[in-house]
Amino acid sequence: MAPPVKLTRLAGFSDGTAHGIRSVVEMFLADTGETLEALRGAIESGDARAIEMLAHRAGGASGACGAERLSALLFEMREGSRSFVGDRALFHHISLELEAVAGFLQNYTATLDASAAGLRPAAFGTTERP
Amino acid sequence: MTNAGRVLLVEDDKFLRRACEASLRQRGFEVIAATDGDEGLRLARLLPPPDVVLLDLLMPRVPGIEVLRALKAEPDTAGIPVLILSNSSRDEDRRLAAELGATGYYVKATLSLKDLASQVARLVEGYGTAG
Repeated sequence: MAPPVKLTRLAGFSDGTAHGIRSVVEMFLADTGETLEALRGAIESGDARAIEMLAHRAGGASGACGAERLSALLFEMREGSRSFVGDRALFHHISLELEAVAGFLQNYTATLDASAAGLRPAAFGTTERP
Repeated sequence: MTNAGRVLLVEDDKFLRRACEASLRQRGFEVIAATDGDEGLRLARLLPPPDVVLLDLLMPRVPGIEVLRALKAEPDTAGIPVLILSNSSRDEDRRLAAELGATGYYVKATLSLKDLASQVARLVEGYGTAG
């Protein structure tokens, strides 16, 4: 299975430096986490317009950073026409995917930190490098 | 750092707004940010006008396409180059933006902050087209 984040895309979005990538990752995880919390609230209150807008925002941000599966799930949520139960089930998938993305990016930035400190980075779980 | 130009960034997603803002500031631009189309239009009409506008399309209150239409219809703002930042890669969206006077169109899924800042710099200097 492909990694949850396409690293070439992440590097292409940022300036490609370790500092630039780390900065983008920190902002992405903090801000997209907030947007998904708001999305959860919108689903619970059945606010279709807010669901569409929040899923659109987070889908765009995820795509920009190379989290393509997460982005696709969010755009699926944006398209609507599901029941409340359907929205909750899809949101569950989205939450799991965000966890996978966060874990992957945290491991990846740790390898950048190790490189910056002059330590030999541990092998990273993908063959794709930016 | 010297002021390389004044950029109005109209983007409702907090992450993309912060990431673009940080990238542009790092290159010396002054950035004023709006979180919806209504605020974007208000800030674009303030003096001094921005050198470049970066504009999301799907936003609360006033959609980006209506912001673009309004900017290009007003003599004081019609000459400001507008670069669109969109999730849509559909040809009809690109075409409509171009017809309304957008200078460039960037799809977020392929956006490079570095390229965007370079294009902004070219526009501030008075030349450069498309995105």
